[in-house]
Amino acid sequence: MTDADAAVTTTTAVVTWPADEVVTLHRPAWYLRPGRLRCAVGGGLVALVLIVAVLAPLVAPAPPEAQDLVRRLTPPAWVAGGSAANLFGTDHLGRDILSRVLHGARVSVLVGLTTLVISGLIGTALGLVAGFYGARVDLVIMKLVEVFLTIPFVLLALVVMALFGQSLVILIGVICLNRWIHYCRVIRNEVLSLRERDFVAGARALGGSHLRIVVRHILPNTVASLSVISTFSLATIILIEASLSFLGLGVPPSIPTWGSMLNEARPYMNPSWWTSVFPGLAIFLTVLGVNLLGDGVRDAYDPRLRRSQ
Amino acid sequence: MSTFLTTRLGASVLNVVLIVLLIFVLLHLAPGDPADQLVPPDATDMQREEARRQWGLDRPLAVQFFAYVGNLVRGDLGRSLYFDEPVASLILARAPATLELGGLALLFVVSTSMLLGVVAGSRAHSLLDQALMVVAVCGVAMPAFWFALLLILIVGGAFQLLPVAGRLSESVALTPITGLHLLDSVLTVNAAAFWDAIQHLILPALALSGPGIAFQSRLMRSNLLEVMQEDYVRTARAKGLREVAVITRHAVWNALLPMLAAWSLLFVFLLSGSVIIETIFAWPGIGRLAVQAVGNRDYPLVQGIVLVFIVLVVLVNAAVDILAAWIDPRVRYD
Repeated sequence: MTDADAAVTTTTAVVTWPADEVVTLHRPAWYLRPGRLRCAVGGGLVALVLIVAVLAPLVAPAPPEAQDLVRRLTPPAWVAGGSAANLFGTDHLGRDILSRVLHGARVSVLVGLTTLVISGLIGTALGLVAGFYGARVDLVIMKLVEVFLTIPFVLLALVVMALFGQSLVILIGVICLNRWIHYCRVIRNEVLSLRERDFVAGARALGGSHLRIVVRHILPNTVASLSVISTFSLATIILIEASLSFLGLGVPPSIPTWGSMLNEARPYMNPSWWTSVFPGLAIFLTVLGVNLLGDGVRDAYDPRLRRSQ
Repeated sequence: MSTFLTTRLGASVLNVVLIVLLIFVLLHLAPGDPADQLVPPDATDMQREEARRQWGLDRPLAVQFFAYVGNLVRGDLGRSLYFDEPVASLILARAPATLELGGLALLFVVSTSMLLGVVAGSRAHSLLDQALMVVAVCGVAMPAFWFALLLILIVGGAFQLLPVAGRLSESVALTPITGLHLLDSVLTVNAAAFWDAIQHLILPALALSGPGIAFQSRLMRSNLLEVMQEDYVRTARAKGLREVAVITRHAVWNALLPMLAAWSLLFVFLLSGSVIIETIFAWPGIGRLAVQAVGNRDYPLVQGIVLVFIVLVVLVNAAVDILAAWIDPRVRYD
């Protein structure tokens, strides 16, 4: 029995095995349990990014677009030649990298959360319909899912962004095209088994309408899966946004994003390494935080997974 | 099995048709007149109308679609607006570079992730397992393009160990036969070219495979842990087999079956990744051509590349499904 299992069942379990040997399994402090530690680190990182995104204009030492060509490519404060005025150094136009990294969080959070909600709504609705009605409706919706799964997404996004122009709305729309399928697949599979359960039969027997059965009885039972997919989906959305911005096809160039900062840093990163390290680190830590939180959420809903994941 | 094959291949063909339709609709939904790409900006209305008629843009959408499909069936992907060459030959010329890079990355991902997953899974909850999984969790969170930039910065820049751009140094001569530099250098017994090509390949292949390795190692580990709970593993242990034999002979093979589906997703992931990685390493493959084509608003070329990528994915998916059904007959009856 692992510590994690012990934590699920009782606070203190007394196991007698072999007969004359008594082993006491104390539940360790919450921060010592692997799952909780991951969850706390992940949650902390995500909270930090959210706070930074909201407070960026207040906490950033300089406006993100303020240029100072005299001070271009100044190294970080702790490196020889650096100055305390630009903690993370400056880029090729003399813009403060720390301020741009802080402002970059806004786009990641905005695109991440908006896309999450829209794709979640579309995917869940289609998944519920496909799973509940089955038959031809299911066939058509799942065919659509299969088709979208086949498309190499970066390529599709490149085409759409090039055709329809760069804007936040198009960017969110194009990432939704990729994300709804994941909700749809998982929710549909859950509904397929949920609709056979006794409580659904009971609701039918009481004369509940289809809408009522789906919304009041089936949907609440998919919340666990929904929260797990949502956290992992958020990580993917942030990565996709950064990738598209890196290729110069994300939000309009005037808005600072981590991806576009990395793209602009490419010609200068050797020897001015700080231009590419800090924006990359911001993406990495954000995605890491969201993934760790996702692991924690999944473990919380399904303790069986603690042993295998 | 034949019924399964027919159904599966039928579904693949239907997928391709639906995707072709989707791309076609998408391109025609885009704002602006495609004729703008065909005539100079100062063209008169009459010249514009003439171009529209010449390229068939004045015909009903359904007619245009069937004409387009007809051309596709004959292998005609159209003509690039920017390069003024047939799209098919442009793609074919760059295919070997992408194939070589993708092939090596696939090899890296499959071999490394299996090894790491089995090592971590067979010593579950040990220090080694936890260390490997921390690396894997970080690897999954690392954007491929940042990993690529870090590799260029550290391996290519600070230590100057490996080249960071192109497929072959200018000073190295190689007679092209297949276009695959590694194969060509072996066929022409050219050790210098082989060594140079390998050196150019390592960094892009590593950058392309990094996140895949991290993700697939975690998957392999959890599959192995699941299989280790099965009765046949307990039986194998009970009959006195060493743990190594239990894992290599009984557990690993059964843990591999769920990996098949992950490998077909991996293929899509690598194709998508190649677009970014080829751009960063100036790798003359199809991915970089796609970015250039989008930049040049070269729609026939973009359309051709998207189509080729998608047909490849559909073929690989079908092959993986058929392989899974062949290995595990239960799949056929799902």
